[in-house]
Amino acid sequence: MSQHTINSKEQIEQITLKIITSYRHLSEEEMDWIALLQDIQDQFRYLPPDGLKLCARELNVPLSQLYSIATFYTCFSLAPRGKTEIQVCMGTACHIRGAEPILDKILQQLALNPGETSPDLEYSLETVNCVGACARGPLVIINSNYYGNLTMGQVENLLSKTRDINGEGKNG
Amino acid sequence: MSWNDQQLIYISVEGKKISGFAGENLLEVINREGFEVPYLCHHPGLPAYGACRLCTIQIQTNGKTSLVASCTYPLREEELEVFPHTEEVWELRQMIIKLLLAQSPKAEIIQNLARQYRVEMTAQPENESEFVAGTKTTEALQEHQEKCILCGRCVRACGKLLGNNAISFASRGINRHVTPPLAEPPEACTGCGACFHVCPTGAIKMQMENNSLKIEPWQAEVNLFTCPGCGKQHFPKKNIQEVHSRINIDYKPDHDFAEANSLAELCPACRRKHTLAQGLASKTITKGMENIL
Amino acid sequence: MVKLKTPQELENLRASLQKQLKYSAKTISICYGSSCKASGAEEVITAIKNELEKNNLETNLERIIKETGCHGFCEQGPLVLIKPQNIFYCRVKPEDASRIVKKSIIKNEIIADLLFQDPQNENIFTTEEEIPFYKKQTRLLMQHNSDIDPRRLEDYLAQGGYSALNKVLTQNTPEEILEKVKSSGLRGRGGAGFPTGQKWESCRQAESEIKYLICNADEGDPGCFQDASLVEGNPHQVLEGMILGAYAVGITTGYIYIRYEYPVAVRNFREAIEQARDYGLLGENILDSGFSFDVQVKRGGGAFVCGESSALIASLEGRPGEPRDKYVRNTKKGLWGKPTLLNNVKTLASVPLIVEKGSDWFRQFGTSSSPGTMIFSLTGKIKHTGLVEIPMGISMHSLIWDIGGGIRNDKPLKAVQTGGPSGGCIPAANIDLPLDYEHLSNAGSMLGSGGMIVMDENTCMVDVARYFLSFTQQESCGKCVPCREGGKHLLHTLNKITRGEGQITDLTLIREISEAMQKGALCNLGRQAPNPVLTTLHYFENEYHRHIMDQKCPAGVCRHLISFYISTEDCTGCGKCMDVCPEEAIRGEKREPHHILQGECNRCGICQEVCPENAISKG
Repeated sequence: MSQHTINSKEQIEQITLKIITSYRHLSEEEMDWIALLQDIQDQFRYLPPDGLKLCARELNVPLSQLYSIATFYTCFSLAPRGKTEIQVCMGTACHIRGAEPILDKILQQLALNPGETSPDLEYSLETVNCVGACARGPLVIINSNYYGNLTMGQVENLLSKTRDINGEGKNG
Repeated sequence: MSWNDQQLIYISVEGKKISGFAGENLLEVINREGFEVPYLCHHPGLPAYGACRLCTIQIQTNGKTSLVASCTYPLREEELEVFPHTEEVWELRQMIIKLLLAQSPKAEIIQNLARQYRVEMTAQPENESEFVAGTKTTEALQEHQEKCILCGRCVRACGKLLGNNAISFASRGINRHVTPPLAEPPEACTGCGACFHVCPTGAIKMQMENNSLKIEPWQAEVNLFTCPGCGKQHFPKKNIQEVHSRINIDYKPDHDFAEANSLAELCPACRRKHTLAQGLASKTITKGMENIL
Repeated sequence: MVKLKTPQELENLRASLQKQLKYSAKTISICYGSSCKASGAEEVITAIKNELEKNNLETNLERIIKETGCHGFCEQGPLVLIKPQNIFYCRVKPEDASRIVKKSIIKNEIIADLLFQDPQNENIFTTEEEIPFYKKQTRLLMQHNSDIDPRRLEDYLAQGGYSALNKVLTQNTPEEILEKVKSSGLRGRGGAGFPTGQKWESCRQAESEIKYLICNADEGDPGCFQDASLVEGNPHQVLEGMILGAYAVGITTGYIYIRYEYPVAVRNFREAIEQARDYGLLGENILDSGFSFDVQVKRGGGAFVCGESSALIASLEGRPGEPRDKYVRNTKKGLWGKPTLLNNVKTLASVPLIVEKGSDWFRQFGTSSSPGTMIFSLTGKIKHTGLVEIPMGISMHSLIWDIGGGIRNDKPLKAVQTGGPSGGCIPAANIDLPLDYEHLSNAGSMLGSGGMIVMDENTCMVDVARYFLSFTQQESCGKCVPCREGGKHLLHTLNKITRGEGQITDLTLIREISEAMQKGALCNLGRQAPNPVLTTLHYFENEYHRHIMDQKCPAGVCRHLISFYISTEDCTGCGKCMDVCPEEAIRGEKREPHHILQGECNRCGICQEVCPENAISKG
């Protein structure tokens, strides 16, 4: 894959419409707006505003309601996410064991703030609150792979390893 | 249910026995009797919300004393003693006003409350709040931020009351703000101006400009009707369409108007004149009464 | 799979499953909890599967390998148990797969170097039961976690599952179940400790055709994962508890609200629902009893505040998770305005045990006011991080030393934080405090959902308060002024103090704002948010003073208040620190003592970490 896929408006609407179909028959009480948006987010790894607008039109729900849901819950992102998602656990156990300096180091290395995506859509960085792996803290998750008991010294290696993998992906 | 069917509830406020109907909120009941409990997020025409906590009072029920927000506390069958202005309550309100003053120093209503409750301004923390990506900070937005206390009256008026849902809260915590969806000019806005009218701090601006009505900071712009009578501009078109659709009048702007349609097109002054002329013609109104109308 | 039509059919199936279990060969139970997964359990599972295939044992794959929920001893993961003997292998690597299959499965040998060795006294333990970490626990809720493949309902049946339900449907009225739960004294395990039976009764008495049951699995405390371990590891026990609750209260529709960060829990519970429906244990006319009940999984969206019941209900109704005032209880008016019973995972998971074994049996565990067991997430500066289930009322000391093995690196204990962001810090002096609702709340903390974070002298209490405040600030919904604005000022003040810019009057401000939040905030998130600050200020005021008056962080945590120094005596001039310093703040000639330019140094501490001579100190 030479380039992160960005879907066109038509593609977004087409895919979103498919997801909407399975929600259409639900009654007001059965309707689960959060699940609908989660399904769309799972599909694109973010919530495309065009998809959001389509949902509002097709399912006759105020766009403002969907927007308030999409900005309230942290599982949603209204901007595209990077190819590599880096999550730093900031749970209490990890904090006590020094997650903060680790996060600072990563912020510095990637020049990103938590919640941000690099302009080339290579990396997204976010902090998470406990993934239940407290015995391994401090802990960083890169594309669902866990890296535990991290020390400051290992961070640089870990990131450069990630960069290499990304680089290979690009060439191949 | 008629008036008479409603259950009357008696409560005691600072030893005075007062009454209200079951289901009414405590705030309105005690303020009706002149106890002057302050509030910001509440509005008699809107559903209760409980966000500003300024109307917190002390109550005693079942031998237990507690602090409750009076705007969301329903009157119901129970022994209730209310103390709207204890020292504890006063101190809590002072702190709330202090916090609001730091948040919205330019809101006049807060400044007045601060004077009334003898509160001085505390240092303002550096602004750690950032709006979500995609929001452009305009001058209008900045001015709005300095006054908005996030009481949500506008959101409830637009959504729960009128069903337009052109604006809503977005984000959470210190990033919470009121905005049209996606921070784009709101399609759903009819220009009714309810948000402007219910805002307690003047954080919303509404003005007529050229052919349109503008509401800021929503970036809302709706066209105005030109009165067929006098040629002046009055109501927002969308607003009239909305009203028509709700009272089930088939609205066709480009056709011959039915009586009701054309009436609605007139500005209030011309409508009065029109009604008068009709009345005179049908002799239901006699000459001399026209001054009264 | 055949739909079970009568209670007798269920018992017949169970008997045949138990017979199978009795005569089946060995099984390998591999912990697939989040910590073990983070330690590489997935690779171990793959390696063992490959090894079984190599040895032509793959026909029995499903029978031999069980991917189970959390076994609890997270520190030693990945964990592998050889059943039925319960031989306990820890820190297993994929390379060990071949030995495990050849020696422990095909033959009857024990691999000594994979067994657990207590670092304290070098004792080696063969089976799980012998290890002090397990031996001193009382596992009721987590009892079957290592016996059950959570994706197989049959495994739960074989361990006696759904027998409570079966009994109830044939022998008991809903009132009898309600009475049983009431007399058991079970209290809400979500934190507040409200008597469960009383809640059920109130919901039962509410007049409405439609009522809802919600299981709260939105475990948001950062440092807690016990609800996940049950939903992931033994979903049917939770489901059975839900069905029993619904039967007792008279409810036909249930929801379980699971945190989206727990994908395995979501998957396992969805499958559990499907299987239970297929077997006729859920849905219309359960086991021909005339009672119908069904459950749906709802995924949370990532908001701690949704652990609060009214916010959770708002979220279930498809809105942002904003709490509302609860002057009218959920049991009268909850989801969609209908009476709603909302219970925590651990509360509901206790119900089948109480119904099956009786309230007297349940009351023999724990104390008279807090009966039963509680699961704690034991984390932080503790030797044995993991999930621990103990009877209520055991002392904190016993939990930390007898089960947790003591403090890491044998440092002195400084404080224990319980109850997560809503709880408080209890100092080492109070270490004999019994762990139950009342004692913890009298100490200014709370039992909460069972988080227990152990802190040593290298933990700064001001920093801990700041950490929790920044968490609750991020997670505040922002609706009410005391929480949103009060929390903002509180955090701002704490930030100032940790930067050495605090003033002594700030402590008064902290107390005033905290009081307003406790009294005025809308929901418990806001009301309890000041707890970490107030308890640390109460027990460790001196540490605040040191930050403010001397601009020093005694624990060496607050970065603005520490400096790094290179000892000229110990430094060999190897240059390692110079290579890694991101600010190029270290100077010195090769093989000559180096020094740090304090003005350039950003106090990241990486130099101290890499120094082979331990020549760099913090002060």
